[in-house]
Amino acid sequence: MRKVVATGKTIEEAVMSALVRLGVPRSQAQVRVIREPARGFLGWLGGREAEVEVTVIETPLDAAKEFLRTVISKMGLGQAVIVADDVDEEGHVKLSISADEDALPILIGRRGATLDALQYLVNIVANRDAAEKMRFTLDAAGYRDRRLESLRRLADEAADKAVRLGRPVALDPMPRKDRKWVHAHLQARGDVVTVSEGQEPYRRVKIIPKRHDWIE
Amino acid sequence: MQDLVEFLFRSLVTRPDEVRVEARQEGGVTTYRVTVHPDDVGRVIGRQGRIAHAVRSVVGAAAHRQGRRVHVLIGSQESSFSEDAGRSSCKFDNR
Repeated sequence: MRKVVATGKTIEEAVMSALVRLGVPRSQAQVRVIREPARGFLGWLGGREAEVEVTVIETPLDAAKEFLRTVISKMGLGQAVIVADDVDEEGHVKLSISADEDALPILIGRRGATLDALQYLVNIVANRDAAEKMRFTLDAAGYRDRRLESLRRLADEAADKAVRLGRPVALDPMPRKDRKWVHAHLQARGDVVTVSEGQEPYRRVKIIPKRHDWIE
Repeated sequence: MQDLVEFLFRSLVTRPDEVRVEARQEGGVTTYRVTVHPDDVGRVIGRQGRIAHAVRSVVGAAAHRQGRRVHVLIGSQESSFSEDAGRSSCKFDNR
């Protein structure tokens, strides 16, 4: 959170000089008076100047973009551009990151691990001082949609295979979110049931054809 | 890299001035020993170490890009980095 301490003959003057330094209007700043001004005996001689601390009020969205840009730059991945979708009624917003093409695989990580980590951190950091919290989802170069598409294909193919062979088929380990999506997606088919098995981070979805009584 | 580690931890704590990061090179691995104010330990580790895990993922990705390996150890100012303290805060390293 950006803040400065400034002094002036009056509180108003001190605040003005702080606002100029921060480059924000009064409406976006919060002022705390550290010291009231006091008049000295001879004019200002021996008097005290007013001292104030002025803090920029950032929305969680501003804080989130700033955090991401800084982290990505410090990761050595260059200057990223963060574009926010409209905020929905529940304060949920999708942030799309654009970066250099060769930076993207690092930014996304294996099965989206880095993107997920950044998403988790940005939600904590950006909402820390916020009165009204927002929920952020991160995407980079349309990764989330592509991942969902490949997840759908993976799940459908594995379910078909389980039914065809009449025995359970296990998918590769995947994050909790992805497993949840696969369970929900395959629920729509009547011919298989799904369970998760194993320990994190190797927990995986097992698809069981309904005709065979594998569960019992 | 140290800059990234410092920034991540300072963003998470309530007392950013008290974040200290010390880097040590051992073989091909750089170990960052991070200390924070005792009140902030929970804020950098998180429930079941989730925050620490996320920080390590991000730092690990940046290191991977540079062909380096890094460890991030977390302690509070009260606990010194004895072997045991290091080890116990080390348990998410291999994820």
